[in-house]
Parts: sequence; C-alpha cells; structure tokens
Amino acid sequence: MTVLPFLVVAAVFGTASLLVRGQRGWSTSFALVGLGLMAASAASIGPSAAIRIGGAVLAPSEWLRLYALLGSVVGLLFVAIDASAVHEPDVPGIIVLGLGAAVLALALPDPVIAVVAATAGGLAGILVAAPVGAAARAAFVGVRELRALAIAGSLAIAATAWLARPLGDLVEAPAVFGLAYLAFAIAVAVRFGAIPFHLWAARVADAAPGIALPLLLAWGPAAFAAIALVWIDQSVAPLALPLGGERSLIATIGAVSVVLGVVAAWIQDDLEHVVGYTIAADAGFVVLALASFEPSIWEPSRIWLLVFVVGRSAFAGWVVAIHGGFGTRRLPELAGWARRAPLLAVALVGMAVAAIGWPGLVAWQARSTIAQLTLPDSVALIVTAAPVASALIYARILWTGFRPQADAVRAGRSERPGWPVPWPRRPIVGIGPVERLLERLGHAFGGLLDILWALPAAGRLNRMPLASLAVLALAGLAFAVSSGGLGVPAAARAVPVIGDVGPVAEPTSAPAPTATPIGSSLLGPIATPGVTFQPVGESPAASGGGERSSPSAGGEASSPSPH
Amino acid sequence: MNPALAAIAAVTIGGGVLAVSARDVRATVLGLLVVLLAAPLIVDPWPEPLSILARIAATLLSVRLIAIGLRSEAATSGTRIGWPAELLLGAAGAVIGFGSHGLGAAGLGPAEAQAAGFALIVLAAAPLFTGRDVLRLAVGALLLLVGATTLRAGLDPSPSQGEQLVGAVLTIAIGGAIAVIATAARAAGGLEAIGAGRPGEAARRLPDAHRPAERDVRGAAPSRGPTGPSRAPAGPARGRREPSRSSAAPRRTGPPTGVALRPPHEPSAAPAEGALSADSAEPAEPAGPAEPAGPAVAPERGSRSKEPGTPRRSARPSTGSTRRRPPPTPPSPPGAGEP
Repeated sequence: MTVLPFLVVAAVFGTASLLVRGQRGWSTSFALVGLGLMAASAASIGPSAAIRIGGAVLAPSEWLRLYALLGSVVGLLFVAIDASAVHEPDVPGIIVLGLGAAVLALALPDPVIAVVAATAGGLAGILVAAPVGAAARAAFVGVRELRALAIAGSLAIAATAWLARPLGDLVEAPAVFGLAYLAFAIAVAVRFGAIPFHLWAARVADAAPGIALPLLLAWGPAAFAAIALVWIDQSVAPLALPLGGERSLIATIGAVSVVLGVVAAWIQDDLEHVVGYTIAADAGFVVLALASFEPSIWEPSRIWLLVFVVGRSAFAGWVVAIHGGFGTRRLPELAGWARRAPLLAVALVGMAVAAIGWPGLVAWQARSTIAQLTLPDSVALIVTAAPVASALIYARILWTGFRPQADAVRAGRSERPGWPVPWPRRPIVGIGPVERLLERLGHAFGGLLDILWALPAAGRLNRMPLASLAVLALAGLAFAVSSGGLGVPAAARAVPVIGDVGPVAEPTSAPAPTATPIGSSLLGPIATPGVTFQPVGESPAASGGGERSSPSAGGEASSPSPH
Repeated sequence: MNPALAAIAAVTIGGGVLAVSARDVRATVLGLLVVLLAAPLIVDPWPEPLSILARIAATLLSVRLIAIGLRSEAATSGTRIGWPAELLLGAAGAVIGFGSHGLGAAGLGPAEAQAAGFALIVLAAAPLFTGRDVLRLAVGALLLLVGATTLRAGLDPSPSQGEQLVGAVLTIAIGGAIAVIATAARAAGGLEAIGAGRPGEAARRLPDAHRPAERDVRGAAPSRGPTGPSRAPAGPARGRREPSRSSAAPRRTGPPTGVALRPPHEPSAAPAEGALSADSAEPAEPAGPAEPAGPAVAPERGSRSKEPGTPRRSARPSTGSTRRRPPPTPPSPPGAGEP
C-alpha cells in the first residue's frame, strides 16, 4: 500500500479533531481513532509502493514505514497520557496533523518540495505553542517560534533550490556548495533548537504543553533532518569538495549541543526544561551526522533519529504524567514522588537505561559511530561519553522521588487503583440447582452492567495508574528501539528502490566533481493538465526514472532512498 | 525580460512594501493578500489553471484566518523608516536579484522571480529582526518564506502541480499560525504584548507561560502560592471559573498581564492599558484614573458575565467612562501592591 491512505487519514482526523476542539472528549476521540487508523495504514505501507500525484512522487521506504508506525503508536500513547493527566486542548489534533506533515515530507523524494512540507508541518505546532488563554508571554513565544521556523525553512528552500539544477559553472566555485550545505545544516540546527540556537526552543518549553514538546522539538525536526541527510548524501557528498571549514563548524555546533545540553538539563528544576535540554543534547548527534560525508554515516544517523525521538517522547510522557498526578513540574516540590508512583519510577529507570545505553547496544554504537566519523578522537571520546553524564539527571530525579513526601505529592494522585462504587453483595437464595443456576446467571449479567456503568467513573478515578501504564509502555518502546528491536537497524540500512529521481549529482565518490545533476522535473514528464494519481511502480524497471545509487549503498546499483 | 512577469513582480514587491510599511492593519493584510496572490504567478511557463485555483483558494483562506485573528485591531507599529525607504530597499533587492539571476549558474526560471524573491527577503529583514509587535514579526516571517519560494521559482524549472499543492498547504499553515499568534496576543492585551518577556527582561520573566491545565482549572490550585488567583483584586467572580467565559477568552490564574512584569520595587509608570501602548506610534487612549493597575483579565470585546449579580464590565476599560471607581478606598499609587 502507498503512503496516501496514511496522509488522508491524518488530514481528515487531525482537522476534525481541531474543528471540535471546544469539546475535548470528541476532539480526543477523533485523534485516537485517527491515530489508530494511521498505525494500521503505516503497518501496511509497502517500501516500494510509490505513487505520483500531480507530478510529485510519494515514495515510501522501510525507514519511513517505521517512522510512521512508531509515530502513530507514540501518538496514541501520548493522547492517552494527556487525557488521563492534564488534558490539554488542541494537542491531540496537532499530534495527528504534525505527524502527517512529517510523513508527507519524508515521502517526497524531491528535497525542494520536502522542505516546504516539513516547514508547513512545523507551523502547525504554533497552535499549541501560543495557546489562547496562556500568559502574555505565550504570544511572544509563538512568534519567536514562527521566526525560527521561517528562517530555517527559507534557508533550506534556498539551499536545495540552488543545487537542484544543472550545475554548469557552479562546480568551479566550491564556495557555492559550502554555502548551500552550511545553510541547510544550520537550518536543521535551528529547527532542533541545538545550542546556540536554543533560545526559541527554551521559550517554547515555557509555553507549549509538555505532551507537545516531542512533536515540536523532535519528531518534526527529525523529518527535516532526515531530508537534510539525504540531500547531503546525494547532492554534496558525492562531489568530494573541500568543505573542511563548513564541516568543522557544523561538527562544533553538534558537539557543543551534546555537552552543554546535558549540563543545562542537569541544572534545571522545571522538568519540561529538562526534557527540552535533553532533546537539544540528543539532537546534537543529528547535527554531528550532518558534518560527515562518509557513506557509513547513513545507517547510524538514521538509527539515532528513531532512538532519539522515541526516547525523548517517553521522557516527555513521564513528565506529563507527573504533572498530571501532582500538579507541579518543579523538582523541589516533587519530593517523594516515587513513593506514590512506583510504576513511574520503574518507567524512569527504563527510559534512562534506554537513553544512556552501554557499549554494544545499538543506540550506543550509533552515537559512537557518529562521533568517531565527525570528530577528532579525543573530542569524540568526550562527546560519546557525555550522555553517560545524563545519568546524573535521572539520578537526581530519582533521589528526589525517595525523599520524604512534599505537600504537592501528598495532596496529589496515587497510583493505587480504585473502584468508584462499592461492589454490591448478591447472596444466592435459590434452593434448587436450576434456581441457583439462573440466579447466578442473573447476578453475572447484573455485575457486568455494574462494571460497564462504572467504567467512566473508574477511568476518572484511576487516571494516575492509567497514565503510568501508558508511560511504562512508552519506556518499553524506547528500550526496544534503543536495543535495535522492531527492525530498526535493517530499516535504517535499507536503500529502497523508487522510480523518480532526485535533483543532483551522480553518486560517484570520485574526487573530481564530474557530476552533472539533472533536475527531476527535467527528467520526469511535464505535469499533466489535471491532477493525476498514477502508481509509479513496484520495481525499478517499472519506474522508468533514472537510476542512481546512494553513497550509503557503496555506489552499487540501487536507486536512491528518499528518506 | 517578460513584461507580464515583470509587472507581476512589481505588483508583488508593491504588496510587500505595503505590508511592511502600513500602520493600518487592514492595509497590512491587503499587502499580504497581494503578495500571496501574485508571487506564485511569477513562473514561466505559467501553472495550470487547477494549480492557480488551488493557490488562490489557499491565499484567500490564509488571509481570512489572519483577518479573523486581527479582528478589532486597528493599528500596528508600522515601519520606522517610512514607505519610500522601504520601497527603495525593495527596489534595490529586486535589482540585485535580477542582475544575479541563476546565482552562478544558468537559472532555469524567470529572472523576474529571483528579483521578486530578493526584494521580499530584503523587505522581510527589518520587521523580522526589529519588529515590536507580533503582527510585524509575523509579516516578516511570511515575506521571508514567500521570498524563498519565489527565489526557488527563479532558479529551478516551473513547479509541478504537486509542488503547488504543497505550497498551498504552506500558505494556509502560515496564515493559521499568524492568526493563532495574533489571537493570543490580543487576548493578552494587544499586539504589543510581545514586549512581555523579551530577552533583556529575563530577570522579570514569569516562571511559566502555560495555559492552566484542566486539572488546575478544576480548583486544585490551593497551593499555587503567591502567584495564584488570590493576588487579583477582589471581585465577585474572581478566583473561580467563570461559566460565561467563552473558550476563546483567556483563563488566567497567573499575575495580571503587563503590570506583573515590572519588578516589585518599581512602581507602575502608567495604568495597564497605557503601558501596553506606550511604545506604539499611535497615541494611547487616556487611561482610567487611579485604578489599581492591571485587571487580571482584560475583558474580551463582547464577553460579558451571564452570572446573576455579576456587574457587567465594559468592553473597553481603558476609556474609563464605564468603569466604577473604588469609592471609599484611598487611592494607592499606580502599581502599588503589584508584584
């Protein structure tokens, strides 16, 4: 199946969820149904089932399928946590729409169109970053986010457009490629809020609901970064130009973001700020990956993107559950939280292990490879070991959880499950066996009705345990992805075959810039007068487009991967 | 040079100049409408009718959203250097863009598109980095994005239908984003509310800008401490949820807007409404006399309490004409008692 059903479901149910935003129950229900359908359609996406719509190709890949599937499942758990914890308006619909826009961007092989779609998806997040009814500063936060998105989007659009045509005399001016490469890489750093471009992201953490932070700062920017990785892989790296200065600058930004992000997260008292800075720290490895032109960066960078977004989503879900249970996110006011929420304590330990890892774990190896490919050995050692220091962050939170209980924790919700009404006693009064049998059947039916009628109240009463269970599931998912489960390495390694072509150079890794890139619109047919829905084909033979191979495939005869 | 494309590019640049220099909000929106309508047409060959229709529909929806977000707002701060200077800046950008068509290689699109793209990017710079209100900043962001896409049209071949469709989605998204930001700013006191929490005012920054969660609204906030509702002036419905308030109206449990950002030792320079418009080029309306500055909720226009016994509040408290003066209490200095 193509990616089209996924996009249609996301557009329909996300819009419906926002249209009924005044009624939170309906809004949440639309989002839940939509995310369920999206998960089902994501699972059925075929890696080579491309489709052409109005001259643009939507080409899925194995990695895209996993991204969409994980995003849908994480979104489902997010909506469940949000509904049982704080129940923010707009968030469910924005999660659906944002995920749909990210998948649309990833499915577009042409980076010029893909960055426009990724920017549009990021703009949807402003609805939750500048909510009506928040403090006055929320509008300021929203407009700063808009500015960051506009700058990043414009840089990326200009960079991709500059190189998406026959290069001609451009190959004699490497500075052009350096500028374009630098522009797109900095755009990615801005989107992630990597240090030193983190001010807007820190303000977003002030205003946006905690449950929306991963979408705003991780899932959407991850799609943007995946486009950049593919663009660099196809348009800049094969030319083997001397771009040492530009690469050093990008590597410095990434390394600084990793180290300082951990430090900044460690000194924060507000848990949402902790989440924000750990996202900035993890995003530093993605920025680092942009600094390498080696084909071997392909797999670890795409592994790390999935590990990073799922792991940080689990942490954000944990913070929202804590906030919903105890009414505060400030660590000094959360003393003793682990005594009242042991499931959340277990989940925190699980996500800490998944985030830090150990040598040999897939996530650790991905981080280590990225650092070694982009940094000198000594610096690479420091950057690789920096996430170990984030153990102090989790230890501090856990230590707070086992202190004597603070007032907010004592007055908050407990994880202990309960039932809203007393269980009725139904004594058996029948004498004969038939009478007793019928009586038991009647009692069973009555008991079932009692349970069904009390279910909504039971859900409200057991918000904390329900949220904790969802967070525990997220932590398990994060650990599974971090340890290489769910086929993450295979999906990251795969270079699927698609029909249409990307914009630029030939895939040779020869030092001479011999590439004569040809824009997709030149090779492909001119747009037909009407909007067409034309399957592109399941095999390269059926595609009819020019074949190129990604450097990650070692220059062998495989066609380029979109994202 | 294609005269028709040159004319469309000139119209686009004119719309950009109008958007960044006008003080009247309606003129600003008109400028945005012109830019969004004309910019996608600077391509050679022209897009198919279906693509043009899609872009027009997206533009109308986007501008309509912006207009909704700016409803009842009359003025923005406008440019500080005047429209002739903005026009010259745009013209200079256009000349540079036209002269450097292709940026080092053969451009596959019209040179007029690159000229318009450069001009829009130049025009966007000032409001984007020095804008004082949310509308000007947002106009800068929109012009920057439109300029980048127009620049792309000058460098590469004409966009396909699919790309036009994605561009239409981007147009709607940025219009919706501007509408949301403008609505949030209006609910918080006006477009100039951007002054709250600027980086230079980090020391005065509120600890939180979140909307109160459902959990807090339900009354689970007895331990909110000194920033809780108890600091608000006493009123009949203060401190609890007002059933009459619409979902678009602000529910605020934090300190009052505007005044709460002053340091504790610094008295308020002016009553709340005056303070919000102090930096505006438009003269501020005369503020009500000696009211304790900063009502916690600036009443929405048209919002009123339906609760029996609740005194109806004026939609325009700054005029002071319908606001009751606290009779027996000795007038405190403006801002006294505020955090």
